[in-house]
Amino acid sequence: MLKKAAGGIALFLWIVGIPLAAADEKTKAAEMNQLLEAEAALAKLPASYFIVDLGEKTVFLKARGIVLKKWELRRTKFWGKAVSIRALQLLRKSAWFPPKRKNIVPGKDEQGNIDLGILEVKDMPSVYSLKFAGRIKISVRPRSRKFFLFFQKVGSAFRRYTYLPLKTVWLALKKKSFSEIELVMAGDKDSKALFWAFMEGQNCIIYQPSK
Amino acid sequence: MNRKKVLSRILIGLAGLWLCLELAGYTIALVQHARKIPAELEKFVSEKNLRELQAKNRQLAGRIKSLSPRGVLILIDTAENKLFLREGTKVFREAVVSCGSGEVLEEPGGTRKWIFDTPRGEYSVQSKLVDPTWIKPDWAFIEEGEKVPKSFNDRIDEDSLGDFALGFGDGYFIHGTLYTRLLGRNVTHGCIRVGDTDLKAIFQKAGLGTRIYIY
Repeated sequence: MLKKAAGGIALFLWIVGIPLAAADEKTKAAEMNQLLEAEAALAKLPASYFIVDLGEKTVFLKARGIVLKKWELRRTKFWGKAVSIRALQLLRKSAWFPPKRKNIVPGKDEQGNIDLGILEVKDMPSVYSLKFAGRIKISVRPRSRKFFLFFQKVGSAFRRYTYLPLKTVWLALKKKSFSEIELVMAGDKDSKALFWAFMEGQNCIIYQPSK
Repeated sequence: MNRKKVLSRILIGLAGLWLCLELAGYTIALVQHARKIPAELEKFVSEKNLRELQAKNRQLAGRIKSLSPRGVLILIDTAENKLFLREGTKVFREAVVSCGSGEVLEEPGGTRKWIFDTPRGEYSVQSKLVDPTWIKPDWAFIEEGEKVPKSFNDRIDEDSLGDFALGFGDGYFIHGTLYTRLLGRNVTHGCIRVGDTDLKAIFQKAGLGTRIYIY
């Protein structure tokens, strides 16, 4: 009797499970379809573009479909409205301490000290945000060093448990929504290199596949 | 009611309000996130079957692949000051180079301004020169605090560009350098400086039309 009941339950689950699994597969295929459609449109243009793949935890810099450079992400966090899979234009890069260009003083011999004026990747900020249209924001930071870990955890907890929920309520009252993505890079160097590579006006696809 | 009781009630009230707002924030965010599949995608999913979708995806992947350039490619990473000579995914030469300094030069008393960045994007080799001569532009004199010459001959510099140069438009070149100790640093006026051995290999491998990607 018990065996029959168990068999019945198993059969029921199998029957119910097939269409559910198929629907899931279908959603994944549809998401992939949107990604490929968006990328195919960008790959036609003579310009590089980014794909932020939250599933693979990787940021790809691509042109014409080929990968020029990629960055592995340590961690990603998402808050708010799901981002549709389409090309988004980077409106603004913002940082507390943005890099500043230096002016050359004509005729002034800097006696071989080239570091006085040049702008290199080491001069880029490692903590910054990338703002896209439709209230989509990507915050980037490197993995914290041990010394700063405590402060970073406190800041992150405040942000996640106070700032973001309150912002959500505030914007919901105004019938608006937003999306915030946090990308934690493996280190300072990667974070700075991503800032360097991302240009305002450049296209980006944020891909967040269903789990 | 004593002061302590009033204060504790205020605190409890504030904590309650904060918790309510938190809960509301979380709930709204979860609801917004749950609407992952936008209406257009939902319609698209319901109309097509899985096989159809997979076939479409293969077709799209093929279309993207067909847009990828074939043959030798030159990739230049301006952050790392590296140049990669690549065919498909195979890198067969990696060279340390110098890219633009990002400095700004303004003409004293004038209106002209130059930003010494290496341009980014997709380019192609437009010219290949052996023993190239540099025709010094105005900024080269202004930077040195010199007067811009009127005679063309005063602009000719036969030493600075090395043995070879590959032009990719707007006066930008991949060329040699006298300052090999500065390879790996962002010190140029926008061109890409390469060491002699690497430059020779790049010159031999890249033909006219070879795609250059600068990022």
